[in-house]
Amino acid sequence: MILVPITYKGGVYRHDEIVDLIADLGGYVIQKHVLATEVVLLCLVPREDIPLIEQIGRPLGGEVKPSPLVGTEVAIVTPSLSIHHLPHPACDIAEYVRRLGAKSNMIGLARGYGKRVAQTSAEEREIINEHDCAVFLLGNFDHCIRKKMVALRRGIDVPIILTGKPPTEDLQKAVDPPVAGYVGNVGRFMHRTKEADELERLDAIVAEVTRVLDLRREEIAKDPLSASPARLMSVIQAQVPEVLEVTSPTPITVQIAGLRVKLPYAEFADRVRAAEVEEGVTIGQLADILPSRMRDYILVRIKPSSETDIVV
Amino acid sequence: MVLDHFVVESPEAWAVSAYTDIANDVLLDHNLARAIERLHIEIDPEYPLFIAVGTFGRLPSVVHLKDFAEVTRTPEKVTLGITDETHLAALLDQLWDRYGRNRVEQPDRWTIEIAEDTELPVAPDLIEMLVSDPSIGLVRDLIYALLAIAPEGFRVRTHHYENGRFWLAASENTLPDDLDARVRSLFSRMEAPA
Repeated sequence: MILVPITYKGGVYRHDEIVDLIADLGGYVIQKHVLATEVVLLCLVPREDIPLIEQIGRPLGGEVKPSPLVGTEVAIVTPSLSIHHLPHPACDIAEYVRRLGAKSNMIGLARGYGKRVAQTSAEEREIINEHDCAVFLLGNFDHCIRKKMVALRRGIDVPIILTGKPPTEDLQKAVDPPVAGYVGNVGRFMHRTKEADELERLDAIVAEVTRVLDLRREEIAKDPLSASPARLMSVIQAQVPEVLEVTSPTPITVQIAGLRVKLPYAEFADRVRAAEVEEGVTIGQLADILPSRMRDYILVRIKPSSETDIVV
Repeated sequence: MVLDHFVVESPEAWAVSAYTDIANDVLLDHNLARAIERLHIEIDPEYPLFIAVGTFGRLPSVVHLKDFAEVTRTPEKVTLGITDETHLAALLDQLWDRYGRNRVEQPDRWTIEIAEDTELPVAPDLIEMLVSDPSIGLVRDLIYALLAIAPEGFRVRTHHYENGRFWLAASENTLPDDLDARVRSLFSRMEAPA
């Protein structure tokens, strides 16, 4: 059964029927937003059952759209959190990838500015490495990007998507060895993106993030995970119900190969480790349960089946 | 943005368009676009160096006490009858500084009384006192705006303002020895007839 990411938008009235349907079909609701009279469900559902969800949702005013970034966590890395880089373009891009279903986290580096002095700290690198990919928002000068990217990429293990003002071809030439993706004609700007050509640039970033994450999924598919992250999410929700009381929009953030559980590590790590996925198989056997560098959260990194000899 | 002269120079073509947009947005956001008449920016990413030179258009005029108050003197006190409250806060600050809070009373919103004191009599030319110079705030806003336009890593900075002409230089390294010559050259290019 292949699960595909979709967004369901419809009225609040009887939306629980859709939630039940998705569960019955073997799918998962990753995130649910209730906005006044509208509900938005970010879900993973079996590919062949999408027409059925559309059919049942239609009388309820429901609409199903593919959302390639559902179930991913993306780091939007900006050289600083000053007026130079915020709120545009960093917030605009973080918000835009969120619309396509990704959970985006904005990371403002303490010393990411300047071509000579740019650097990242160990903590920043570790936080970035907890994501599925990192979008680096650099500036307007090819010369500076060439110099500072050497320092900024050091120690980053997740795929990097580099954005900047120079055209994409120039960005590709500027970085050696190459990074996973490039989006040119973005750079630093100080107004809200609302014109058509600016939205096209945001679309280009989303397309590049999607392409890079698809490659990552293909890579993982060669040695499949011991369990799907969405399944572990539902297991944790059932067996560690305290997570349902967390007020964060995503108490459990689903990643391509893991989860971020927003509960204190010291208190809940053992319970997450001991949660039973199937009879005799616990999460601790399938995944590494690690302390996250983000607050005191729990990071679940699912091991490949070749390592555990288990697929559930 | 309508300026008599607005040029951004840089060896990288895409940076010119990017910084033109950034300068445009920042000056409009800070309500400076109407105040500035000419602006010329040069950015050298190699050194790296950012220089902005420019001139203000017609500056808002300075405000004296006589512009918004009448002064009446008696042997015991000097009474100011206020006709416009806009500059009242600045006026009170200056009076408190000069004569002390115990001598300055405000019986109602339109009246200020300053008690006479033989040790420090109220100045006879009080009516000519300069209360507010809007260009001071304007220059402060301008410097803030230019720093927002300049790349963030350029932390070594200097600026100068005199008689409606301003310049700001910023770099990541120490500023070059020939900075004055560069600034003069930019001013002459900016002020050359088109």
